[in-house]
Amino acid sequence: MLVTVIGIIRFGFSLLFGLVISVRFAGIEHTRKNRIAIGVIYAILLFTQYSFLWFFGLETTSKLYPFIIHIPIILIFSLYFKRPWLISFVSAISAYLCIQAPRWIGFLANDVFESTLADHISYMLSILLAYYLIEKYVAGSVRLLIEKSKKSTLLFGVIPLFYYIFDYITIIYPDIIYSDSKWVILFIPSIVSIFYFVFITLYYAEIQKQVDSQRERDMLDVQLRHAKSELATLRQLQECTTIYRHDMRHHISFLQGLASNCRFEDIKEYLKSVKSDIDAITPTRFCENETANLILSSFHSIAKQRNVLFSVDAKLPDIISLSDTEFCSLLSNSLENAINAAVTCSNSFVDIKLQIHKNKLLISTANPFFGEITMKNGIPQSSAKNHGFGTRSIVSIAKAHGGQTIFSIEKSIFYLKIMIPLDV
Amino acid sequence: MKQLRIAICDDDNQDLLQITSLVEAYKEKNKTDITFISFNNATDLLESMSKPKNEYDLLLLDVLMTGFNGMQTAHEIREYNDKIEIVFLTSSPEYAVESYKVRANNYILKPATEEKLFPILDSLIERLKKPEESFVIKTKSCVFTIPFRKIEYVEINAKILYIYLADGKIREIGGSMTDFEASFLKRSDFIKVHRSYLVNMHCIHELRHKELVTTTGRLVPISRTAYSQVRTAYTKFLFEEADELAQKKGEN
Repeated sequence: MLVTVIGIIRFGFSLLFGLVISVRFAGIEHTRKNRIAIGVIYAILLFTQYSFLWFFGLETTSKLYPFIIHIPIILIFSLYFKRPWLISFVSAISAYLCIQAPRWIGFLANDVFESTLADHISYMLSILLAYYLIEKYVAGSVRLLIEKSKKSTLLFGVIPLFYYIFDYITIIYPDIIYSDSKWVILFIPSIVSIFYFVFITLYYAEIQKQVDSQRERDMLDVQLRHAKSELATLRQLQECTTIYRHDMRHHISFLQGLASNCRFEDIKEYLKSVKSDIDAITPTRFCENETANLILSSFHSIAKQRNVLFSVDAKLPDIISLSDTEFCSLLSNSLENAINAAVTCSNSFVDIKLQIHKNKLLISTANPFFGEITMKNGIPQSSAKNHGFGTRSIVSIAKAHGGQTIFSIEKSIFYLKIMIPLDV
Repeated sequence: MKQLRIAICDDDNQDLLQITSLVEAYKEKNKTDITFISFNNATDLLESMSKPKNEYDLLLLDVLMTGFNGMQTAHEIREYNDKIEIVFLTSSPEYAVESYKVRANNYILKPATEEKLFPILDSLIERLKKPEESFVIKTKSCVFTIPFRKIEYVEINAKILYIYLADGKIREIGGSMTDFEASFLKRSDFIKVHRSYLVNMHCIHELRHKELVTTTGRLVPISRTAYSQVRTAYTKFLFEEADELAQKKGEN
């Protein structure tokens, strides 16, 4: 009698376990309303299950289990909880797979102690343990995995599906497992080993992709921070100019003093030094856009120092819908690379052209270079010195805005074209 | 096609003779309408070019000349003449970088030969040929033309060519893609974005991953295999179009 009662409790227990685990896998939200709904569903399913047990007995109920429990769960998940049908399906059959280990422990206990009671009790204890482990370590990852894409849901669901089919075939045709046909017995092990390799391979590729994109993001982050600080320095420089202009009064009174003493040579000398001071800190106005002017003037003086002829053709309005840091990163990386390449040539120059056409920002540079440039997938590969961060951040900024970068070499001149669609 | 007018300038009479005979040979061989005039110093060349009636399409210019050299001459010419095509004749390739500065089209390593000169002349003549401005359609009953610039895109569907015009209208004619493709694709502004669509890049408003939006807001599908090619072509086209516009503004 006790054994029967515990056996009945066992059924309720595994139903609860299966339902809760599939709810967790399917990613159904933890709200009060959902908890109540699941409670009600559990009660209905439990009632159905016991009624079947009562009327048809254990064997028939086991055979009908997919129809009275699993299919209803899948239907409820997709129709009531509005989960995609594939996710509902995979979470239900995966939860079924989770029950297998406790079941096996139960069988083992049964054989060791030769008692059905030991089977029931160890089954229920291991279910509790399994629940704890799954909840703690497995459920979260499974949920993310099957929600990621249809492909990963299918990939994840293959083993549970085959196991499920296999298990039910052996329930309906119990003799099959004891037959001599090796292919039947080896069916699940082969499926498992095949998918083990497929899964590991695809999983590795996926991880690699994530690592790559993370690296890309990190690099871009560094670049943008760099651009930000550069812009800040440039702005500060501009402030200096303003202060210098403010100080004009002092210069004038000083000059007046010199003039009244007729010290004309000193006046000339003083004017010369003031002029070069002001020249050094006055940004040249290339176009209406302040950010572009700051960066272009800074590179103008760098080019001058390094004897590179720098010519600018800029037609940009004061405001463009691209963040200052990104714009700065694009310009300074292009110009830095161009000047670095050009400086190695005897006849060195850098041309840059900035314009907006059809609401697209077009940046193009041209410069000579010395030596060989190897291109890979249309992107020049760097010498190890600067690691090609500049080039890569140009490419990824353009890409992030749905634009494009084209690098080309024609008659010993290197050309870079950047196209970025601007927001309307 | 209009006449191709060539100016040749080299201070070495031997070389000058060789080039002129090559040009003469090209003229004979291709029966093309070419006139040429030769100069043995830059001063004469510049003086001739300063007269408005002496307009040349192509200048074959020696780099190393005594007095005013070829590079200086080219710089001088570019001050006021943007259009003329300059090809340098030189004994060493070290001027490649500088020739970019004066927007030279090419350079020929001396001694000039047929193999070096003729392809340059071929491509130049090809470029001077004005592309047909209109798409000519001949049907059984009539012949009509549609200016290419008014065509947004064409679609072929079940042996009917639909021509979508920039004013919103659609024209239809019977035929297959192979009948019409060539006349569109020989223009640099048309591109095949899909097995059954040819698009005028002037009329692309937005390029998306699987489709493009035309200036009048029509959607045209882009095939997956053509996408990256279309995108690169369109980006290049944007730069060219922008430069052309800027040049036109400069001329006006």
